[in-house]
Amino acid sequence: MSAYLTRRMLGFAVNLVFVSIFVFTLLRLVPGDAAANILGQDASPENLEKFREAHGLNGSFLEQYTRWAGGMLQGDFGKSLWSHTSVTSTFFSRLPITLEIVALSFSFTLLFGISSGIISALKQNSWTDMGVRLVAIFGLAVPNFLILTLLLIIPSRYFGYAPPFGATNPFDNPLDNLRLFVPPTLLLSISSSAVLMRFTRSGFLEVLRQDYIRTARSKGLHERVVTMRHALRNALPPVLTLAGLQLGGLLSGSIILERVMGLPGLGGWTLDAIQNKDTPVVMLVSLYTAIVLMTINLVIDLTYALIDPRIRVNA
Amino acid sequence: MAQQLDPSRPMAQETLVFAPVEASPLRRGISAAWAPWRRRPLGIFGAVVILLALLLALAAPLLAPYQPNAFVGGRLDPPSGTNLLGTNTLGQDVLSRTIYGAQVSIGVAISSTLLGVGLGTLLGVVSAYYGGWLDLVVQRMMEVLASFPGLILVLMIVAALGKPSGAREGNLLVLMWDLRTLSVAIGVGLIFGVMRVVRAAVLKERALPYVEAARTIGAGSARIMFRHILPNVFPYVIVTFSSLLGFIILLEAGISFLGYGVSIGTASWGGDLSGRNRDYFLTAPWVMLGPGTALTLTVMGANFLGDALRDILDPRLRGSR
Repeated sequence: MSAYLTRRMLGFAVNLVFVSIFVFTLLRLVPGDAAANILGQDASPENLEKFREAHGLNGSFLEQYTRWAGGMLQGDFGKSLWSHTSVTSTFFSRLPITLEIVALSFSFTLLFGISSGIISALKQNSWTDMGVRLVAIFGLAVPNFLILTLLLIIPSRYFGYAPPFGATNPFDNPLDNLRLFVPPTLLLSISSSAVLMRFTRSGFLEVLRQDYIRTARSKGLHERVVTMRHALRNALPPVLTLAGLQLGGLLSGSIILERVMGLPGLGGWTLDAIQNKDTPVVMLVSLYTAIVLMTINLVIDLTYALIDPRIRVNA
Repeated sequence: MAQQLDPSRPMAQETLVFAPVEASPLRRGISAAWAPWRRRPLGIFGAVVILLALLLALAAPLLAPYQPNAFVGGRLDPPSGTNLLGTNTLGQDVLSRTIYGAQVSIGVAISSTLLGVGLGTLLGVVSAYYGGWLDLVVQRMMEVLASFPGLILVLMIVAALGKPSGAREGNLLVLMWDLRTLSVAIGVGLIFGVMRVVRAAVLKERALPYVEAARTIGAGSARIMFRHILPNVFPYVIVTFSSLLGFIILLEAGISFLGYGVSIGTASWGGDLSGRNRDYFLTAPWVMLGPGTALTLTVMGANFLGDALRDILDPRLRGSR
């Protein structure tokens, strides 16, 4: 177990190094000179040089990268080229919003995706099944930015719902905060729930056809025990893997949600930083998303072993 | 045909008299290919929708009543005889822009899938066939690509390659060339998913006797990979491609919605649902109706087509539904 974890952690570290080199290279390729863009066309060469020196933009690619990596290893991710504030402090002030969006919509995805998939499979070809599948078909096809925009304008006009413009702190006033965040995250989770629902449904149907389910039923086990203990345990692992893949989609969706609703989260910050060649910002966010995605996948791999005792983590 | 010739069935004798006894190989091929579709009306619907979108994209200049950027009416005119779907905030014809918008969605979808699925397949086949350090390197590279949320990866690559500065509407191929950086970015975002599927399939195929047989008679590695293994894993490629199609169209629309895809002014479904037009979704809903319906319907069609193709082609699922 610990040997397995060590190996995975080593893989994490190697991948983070590659991710940082990749992002660094890509941002170098973005056309335009950050120093000239920020100081303006009339900036004197001395000032440009001073600016580059202050922000680690001078020297070769390798020098710049090692300078950034050296700072990073000491916990210093540098300052944003544009706002001159510490990247880490801005990151932590913006993180809660993105985190809340992703956490809520991921929970909704797991909750609705898996439960509706199971119900749909158990009542195959019933009206419930048809209804769930119809919703999933629409959920997959309607663009999230369109329904989020509609959420922004329709309820505010007819029901007095206000979208979370001035994002409130979840710990100051949890009820108000949820009232603001639940509707958009619920809509955001529609398409990922639909993906998960369809996958759960077909996986569950496949499992329900197996011999051991017939055996369990003929032993006289209660139907609930058959579905929840025997079938679910076997249908769940691939569903969880897919759920992990949905997380990347929800992070992308969070960017769109933040833009539509004008929320000061990580998404809008990253979008601007990419266009502005604000390397320290993009580096920090990329490392963060890489760690989140890798960790979730590791957690899912570990739950495999919990759900199915035949799977050993050393395998 | 085979069923009618089955002697165990009653009526077989009579039917034999009327049935064309010697169907040409071509007709037999067509009817065999058509058979699984007959039970999948949604798949046919999806194929028709995608073909229609393709037709719109190819023949937009012939079909659209106006130029997409021409100012042909007042601002936000409701649908009328002259502007069937009304006009937008700038007084442009919504129907014409919706028709031209198909060019961006379809054009980017075609070129990015060609690139992403092509490269993903190539990498998957080669790395699974050779294995060893090559496989390790490719896997590491793919892990890097998988460490980003799709949108961030694509936006970084678009920014690095240079955002498309303008797009000449009218000729689909010209438009595809103008939007090449966007397509490359989306294509790179697809490589990882395709490669994983193909690699897993090739790993299984590689162990089968026909590969060994081919090697025994002296076939080279390239020949084995691309003439023997590739045709056998091709169903997986098609299935991956078709299940990605709707996703790509939505991804491109999302990028254009954010303002990082096609430049402002170019008719595109995602772009026309953003910006100023959004302020009028309630007072002038026709502004969003054209591009919104076209986008949703096309993605739905792509998903239906993808489901049908997967049911028909994916050997793992064959007969399970």
